[in-house]
Amino acid sequence: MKPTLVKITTCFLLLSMVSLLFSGDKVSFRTNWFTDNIGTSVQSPVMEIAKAITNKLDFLIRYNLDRVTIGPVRGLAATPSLVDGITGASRPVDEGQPASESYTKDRNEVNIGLATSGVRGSYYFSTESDYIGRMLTLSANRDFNQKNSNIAASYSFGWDDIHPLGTDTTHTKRAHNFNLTLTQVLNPKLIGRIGVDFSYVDGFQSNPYRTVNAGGQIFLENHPLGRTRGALFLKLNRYFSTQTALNLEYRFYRDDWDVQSHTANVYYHQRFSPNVLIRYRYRYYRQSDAFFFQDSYPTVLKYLTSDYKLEEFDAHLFGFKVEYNLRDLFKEGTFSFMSSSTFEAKYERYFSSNNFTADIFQIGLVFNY
Amino acid sequence: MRDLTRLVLAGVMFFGVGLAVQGCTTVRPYEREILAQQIMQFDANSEEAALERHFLETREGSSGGHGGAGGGCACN
Repeated sequence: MKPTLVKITTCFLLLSMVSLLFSGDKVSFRTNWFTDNIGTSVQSPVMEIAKAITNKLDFLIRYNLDRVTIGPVRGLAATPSLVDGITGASRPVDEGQPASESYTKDRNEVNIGLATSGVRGSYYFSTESDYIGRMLTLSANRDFNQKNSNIAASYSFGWDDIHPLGTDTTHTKRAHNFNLTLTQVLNPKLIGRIGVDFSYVDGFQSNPYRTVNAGGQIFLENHPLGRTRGALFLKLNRYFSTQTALNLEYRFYRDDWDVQSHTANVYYHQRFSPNVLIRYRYRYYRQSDAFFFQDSYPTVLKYLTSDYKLEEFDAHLFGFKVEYNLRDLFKEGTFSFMSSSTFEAKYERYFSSNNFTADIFQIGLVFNY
Repeated sequence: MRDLTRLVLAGVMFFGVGLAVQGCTTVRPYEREILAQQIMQFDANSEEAALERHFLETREGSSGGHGGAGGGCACN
């Protein structure tokens, strides 16, 4: 905990110093704490800097650290001694890291982006002890109809390398993602957005540490090597004269593993004073299971899984967020550079019908110049 | 595969409706003050949204629907 606190404090101090060098831009720092009921906890500080380099060129960089602690392995799916539970995270089990003890690892992620005249490019890089993830994204958008309409399109190519700990094996995964989005002003208080996403993933998509009992024998999890995924989404934002706003979102998803889902999101924003904004939120999610998911495998099949993400379940998420504008606190004096900044605090609770629950806490500081 | 074909057709119809809606309303720049507020923006909190997407895609079997893709990690 102490080294993480030192890192967070260092990031904050660096952020404060860096913020003095920028004007007309944004610097933000947020940190998340996540805990769930299967023993996993994650601490995630995130720092983001957005700067206009010239009149037409914007630069963005984001750094995210995930310190993940994965609890002891409680049971292996489809084993005779199964109690419940499937480890949801990636962790090795060996003499040095026995299943009865927690396992901790760090993931470092960097996103760098450049944007100009409606075109944007970005590079994502993530590294941890057993996984390297990379993604290049190119997107473009254009306004129409006196800027009442906007069409955006993007393409991403991701390439990942997986090196399971304790082995000499290397797996690869490639992903192609396409997106098309239309944003439309409907009236002075209502704006809508619709879009479609397609992706094709080719390569290793199993958990290299997770095992399955099939036909009385233990096998490593084996998912199909290809997956085609699609999603349609609709969003509406509506303003009310009481300085409140309602955001509605719906997503339909389907893939060729037969997973199909519906997601509905509702956000309600209410301004209590010029400096205080509160957002309430509820999300409902429901999905079907993958064609190869089974609670147990009496015989050995081509595809085997103990991944709870692929079973049928529904989930609820609710919470609230408070934003406090600091302008009145730092009008004058040494810290007047913070007068255009905002403090945020958020709490959300997630629970699902497959007995998974989680608490998410987030605090943050956003500096606008 | 047939279901994905239906998804593609639904997406095309979705967009067709969206493009048709374009011709219905023109809001002038001086009428868009409310739409410029943060609570009316779709991308006001992209960093928060990225964190949430990362969490949800490690817990659920779906992805996408946000207007872009996230990168890979062992948590997926």
